[in-house]
Amino acid sequence: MKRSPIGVWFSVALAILVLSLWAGSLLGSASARYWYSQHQPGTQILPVPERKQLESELAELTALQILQLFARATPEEKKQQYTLDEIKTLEELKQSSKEPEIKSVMDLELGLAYLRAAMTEERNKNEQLAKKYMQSAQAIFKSLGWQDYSEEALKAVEKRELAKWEHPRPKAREK
Amino acid sequence: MTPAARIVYLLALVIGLSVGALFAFWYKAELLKHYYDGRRFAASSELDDFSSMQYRHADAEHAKTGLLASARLLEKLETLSPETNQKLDLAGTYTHLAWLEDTANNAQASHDYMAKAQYWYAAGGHPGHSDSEIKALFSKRDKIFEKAGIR
Repeated sequence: MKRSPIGVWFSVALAILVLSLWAGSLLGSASARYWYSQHQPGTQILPVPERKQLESELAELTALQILQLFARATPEEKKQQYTLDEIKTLEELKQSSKEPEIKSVMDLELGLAYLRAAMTEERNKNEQLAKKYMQSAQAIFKSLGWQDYSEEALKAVEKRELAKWEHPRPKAREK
Repeated sequence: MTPAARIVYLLALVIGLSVGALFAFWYKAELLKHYYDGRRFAASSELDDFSSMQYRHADAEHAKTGLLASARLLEKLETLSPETNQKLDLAGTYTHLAWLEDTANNAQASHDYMAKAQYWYAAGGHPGHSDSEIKALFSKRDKIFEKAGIR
């Protein structure tokens, strides 16, 4: 069966249109990324090294907030695995970070993560592991200049941190 | 290929490329705007949490380092895009630094930090407050935050 020339033209034109739409969207995305990285509001005021420093600080601090958010949102049964992964990620982030001030923020998050790990292991009756994580947490808080880094004080801090993220629950109706 | 076919194919190419690029640019730019706005909020909030924790639990030297780091980042962000809340946060940060100096009996340093706190507090829309008024306001705010479990 012989196709009509109009049908062939139309099919080819349609294929070209679809392909160029796709190519155009890739080009548009890349241009937007480039344009935004160069024209973020106000960044032109800063000299290039300072802009780079600010960029890296913002990226690292945001990464820490996201880790925190996931740590609190993870369901109870997966929490310990998440905390251990978080500790690993924080250690890696700390090693790659070039900003000493941000390293201290990472230390605090690392300390809190070890504390969470210790408290979970304690609940699971793994005394040995709980002790190990608690000692790591205490060493970190000591290096951060905390005045009271006893087990009790740190547990109180973690409980308070946990309460920050919990929504007040309506009291159960009395029968 | 006839000249008419060439024109049709060329038109399809031009229309496809330009519509795809424009749409993707507009869509991605919106997403990036939200991402960058969110990133600034997340970063200052993370640093604010850190400096509050250090102020509450650490020795004066470490607490001061945390607060100064927070002030430095907030001032940089403020230069880039001014915001009222950011200015008030800066006033709060400098007031806390002044309290640390008060504890260490460094009257001059405390006075210098309070001058900065006054500047940012006025820039945040509250001019004409004395040092003691600003300290009282932030002390009250700290107590409210502590009671609410925010800090």
